[in-house]
Amino acid sequence: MKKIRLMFVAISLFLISWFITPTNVQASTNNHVLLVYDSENTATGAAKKIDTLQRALTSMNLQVKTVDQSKYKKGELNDRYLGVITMINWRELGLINQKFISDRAKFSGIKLHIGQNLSQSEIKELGGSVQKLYRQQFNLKNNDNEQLLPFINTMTIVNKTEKAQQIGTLVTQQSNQQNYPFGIINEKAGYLPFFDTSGLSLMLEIQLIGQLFHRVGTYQPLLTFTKVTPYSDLRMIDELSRYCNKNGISFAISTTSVSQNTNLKAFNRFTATLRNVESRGGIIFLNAPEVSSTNNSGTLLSQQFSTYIVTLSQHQVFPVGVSAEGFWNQDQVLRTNFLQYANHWLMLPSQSQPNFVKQDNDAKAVQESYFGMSMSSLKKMSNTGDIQFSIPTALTIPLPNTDKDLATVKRDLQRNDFAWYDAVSDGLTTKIETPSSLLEYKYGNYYANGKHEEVQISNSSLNKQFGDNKPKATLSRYFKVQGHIFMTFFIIVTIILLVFIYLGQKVYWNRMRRKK
Amino acid sequence: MKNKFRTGFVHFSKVISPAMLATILVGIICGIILFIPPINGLADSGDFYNTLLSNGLYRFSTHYNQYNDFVIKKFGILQYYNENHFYTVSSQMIFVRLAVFLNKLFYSKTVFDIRFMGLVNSSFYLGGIYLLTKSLVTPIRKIKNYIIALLVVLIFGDAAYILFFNSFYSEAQMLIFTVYLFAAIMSLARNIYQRHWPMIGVFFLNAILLVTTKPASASLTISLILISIGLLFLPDFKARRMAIIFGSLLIFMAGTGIYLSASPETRDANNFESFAHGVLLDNSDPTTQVEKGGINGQFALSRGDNYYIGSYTAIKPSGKYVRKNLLRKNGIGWVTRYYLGNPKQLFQLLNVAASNITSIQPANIGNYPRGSGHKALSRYKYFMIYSSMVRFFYPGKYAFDCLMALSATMCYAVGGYLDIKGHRYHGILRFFLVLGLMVAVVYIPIYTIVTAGASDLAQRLFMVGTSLNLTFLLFITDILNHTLWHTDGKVGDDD
Repeated sequence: MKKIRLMFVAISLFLISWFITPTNVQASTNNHVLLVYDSENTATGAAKKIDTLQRALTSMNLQVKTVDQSKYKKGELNDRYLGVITMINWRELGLINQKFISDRAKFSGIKLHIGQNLSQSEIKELGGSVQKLYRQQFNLKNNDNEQLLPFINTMTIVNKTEKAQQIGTLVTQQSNQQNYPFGIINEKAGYLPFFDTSGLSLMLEIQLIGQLFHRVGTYQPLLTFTKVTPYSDLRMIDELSRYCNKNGISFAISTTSVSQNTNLKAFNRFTATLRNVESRGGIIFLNAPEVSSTNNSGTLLSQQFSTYIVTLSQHQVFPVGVSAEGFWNQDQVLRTNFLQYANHWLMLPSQSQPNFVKQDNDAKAVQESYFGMSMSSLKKMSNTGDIQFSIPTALTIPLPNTDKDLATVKRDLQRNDFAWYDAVSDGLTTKIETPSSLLEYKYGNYYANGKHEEVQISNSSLNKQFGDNKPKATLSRYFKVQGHIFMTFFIIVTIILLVFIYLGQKVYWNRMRRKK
Repeated sequence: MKNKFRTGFVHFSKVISPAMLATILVGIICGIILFIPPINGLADSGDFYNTLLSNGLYRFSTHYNQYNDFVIKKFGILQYYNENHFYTVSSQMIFVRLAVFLNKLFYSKTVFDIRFMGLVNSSFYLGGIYLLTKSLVTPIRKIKNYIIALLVVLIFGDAAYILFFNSFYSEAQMLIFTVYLFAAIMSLARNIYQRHWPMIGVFFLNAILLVTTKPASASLTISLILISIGLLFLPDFKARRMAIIFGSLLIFMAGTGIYLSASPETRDANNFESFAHGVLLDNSDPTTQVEKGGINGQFALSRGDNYYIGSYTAIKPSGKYVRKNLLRKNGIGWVTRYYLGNPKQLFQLLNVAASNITSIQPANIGNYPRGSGHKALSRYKYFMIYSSMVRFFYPGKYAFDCLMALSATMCYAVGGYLDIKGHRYHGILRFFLVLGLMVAVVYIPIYTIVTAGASDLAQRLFMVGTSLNLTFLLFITDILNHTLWHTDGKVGDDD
């Protein structure tokens, strides 16, 4: 009887826990967003748009799950998600998955629609009326900023109702200058007529998404030099960091590292340059390595990551976070064995054909993720002075390779009057944690495994710093002597051989003469 | 008893010639290695890609790694238009296309079995073995001639060679062409056939096919032209000297053609390997050495890297930055100048190369198919008496190779000189043959180090080992035939 009672208690406890756990999960995962697109239309560069949108969402601390409509399964969109984003990349195709359309209509969370083909229920949620515009060119305006958009064939505009919020204005080129709203937010529903990956339209898109998902903030952009590798022209890095230091510009560098040959002078020089960067107030993001198209394993990647961290910190170079192309966050192996060791990410635009290892399109978010955006993409805007950055943004400049490019970069930096993000005064605290080591950055100070580390300043002339201290093998002299002895021996043998051949040939001749 | 043996041998020799004996034995070995399950061959180290692509074949996708571990038995045959039809052109295509044709005829139109490659390769090879043995022993059928035949089997029936046949490595074809052209020259030298022109044709055909097996084979052009010089000394041949010169010209053109046909990508890859696996393989720190040559010293960090990255790397060697800052600068001229300034390093690398000459069976490549009960990368161990003996005893020093080459050349120069004096051509043809082979022995390691560094040495030096083996065979044959110094067969013929 006692046993039965015990069992009853156990079963009921189990059942209670069964009911409780899901609610816990729901509570902790309220930053999930489902992104469903109609097609990865290559003609319109949709992959780039999707990548940009994914990175922007990551920077808003949202975990985005991306699904092609053809792979959407019934019931996938549920209360687990904070919101859903529909992206139409191919107007002629549009949404055809009825399961998604009906699930979305039932969904009560935040809804954002990007592109054409609005459904009736969506139009209703957005305020009630739309109009189609054909074959025109617009100026996109917001406060003092303005940008000329490329010519469009068709575009759907949602008319603003009184309670709806408008973001950006589209102004026609004609003399009568008609105005249309660009982005619209109506309570939990949002709309963007298209998704552009650069300039003012991108800034406004981000602002709209941020407001819709209640993630909006004001951030100062982080100046970041990208495409730095151990193979780069170190003089350029040194020059740039010195220039920034002199002009009071705080900056970051995103660089890859090597896991082999770290005993070579070339690596010493590389790390010396990075130490100079650190001592000049720059912070370093460890950039993800290139992925090959064959033979990749997660263990190898995490081993390499540990090697990078260990070898760099042995040379007093302490990365504050990791940087990678956007697709690294869409790949299970690449994400868990690289990105997730750090709590600060810098996500850069993906290349056109990324090498996935195990693509899962299930992006994770992190304490802070900088949205990488090239500085040149802002050049289209007429007035960059008071751009609002509503998410953590890194404005990137690729490391120049020639003196001419270097001068251009310096000129560009002079012209821009951004208030750059300063890691020290803005109190950046970061952490990189691998199973074997822990690197921390707090207000300009570096800590390795909990111990405070002073970064020593390197000499300005890098080449003189490292002498040619070749290790001299003790036996090398012996082998050298031995080699000489052998050489002489062989020469003597060859001479004797030649003499013998000469003699032998004579003997043979004599024999033959006698025969004749 | 002795008489019984003698009559038995006489009967035997009447039925089976030495050439026939060698062919049958090599045929049996080929059969056992290539066709009796579990079949043996060579796994893909990544080199099959080009061949598969340009011959309308493809790999079936699998969940496991297809490289290095196991021999792959089955490939797919493309059913529709192949856009990479002539991605690379080489004489290997003839063999592969023939194998695919036979496969379609007798086996399947959609699945290609690697054994058809083995079948085509070994059929041609057996013909070559027959001609080779015949060219060395005919017309006599004494015991020593049978010993020569067995020596042919020992050296060229070695599994290290035969394993190549069940693969898409072009070394299989290189071996076949080399055996044919060697046999052609020796047949001409020893006057085996009444008319000369068929064997001259065989020589030029195989020489041209040999240089066109792959772009790297272009380096054999010099050797082959040297060998063909010997043909100019054939008697009653004045009218056809022009033909010989024309033939040599064809070899030269084929060599240049195949060299130029290498895709820019292949050239970049070789360039990179010659740097990362050659120039940078300095015992001390190469950083400053490289910088002296005008290349960013940071590229020293690519020491030991491969052009086709295997996993994760800081920079893509095929990317724009490396191409502009390294590969456009470090051409053959740059590398040559570097080694002239660092001769010690060059000799170190040449010794590394020399130690690889004897390893004809590629290292770290499996010889068994998956599911045969053997582990990944396991190697075939039978019929390898000769290659394992050579690997054990042959000293891996470049200086020793040079000495060997020098002594062999001098040795045969004596015969050549005597024959010029005696108005015979056996020794002259033979001398130029040995000269050509020995030039290859000396020259190919240097060429390889300069153009591709110390990567894939076993494969790139395949012809060096084969040349040495052929010369060794010739040497033993000449000693047994008493024709080392005198070719007229009279002096010293004490049998």
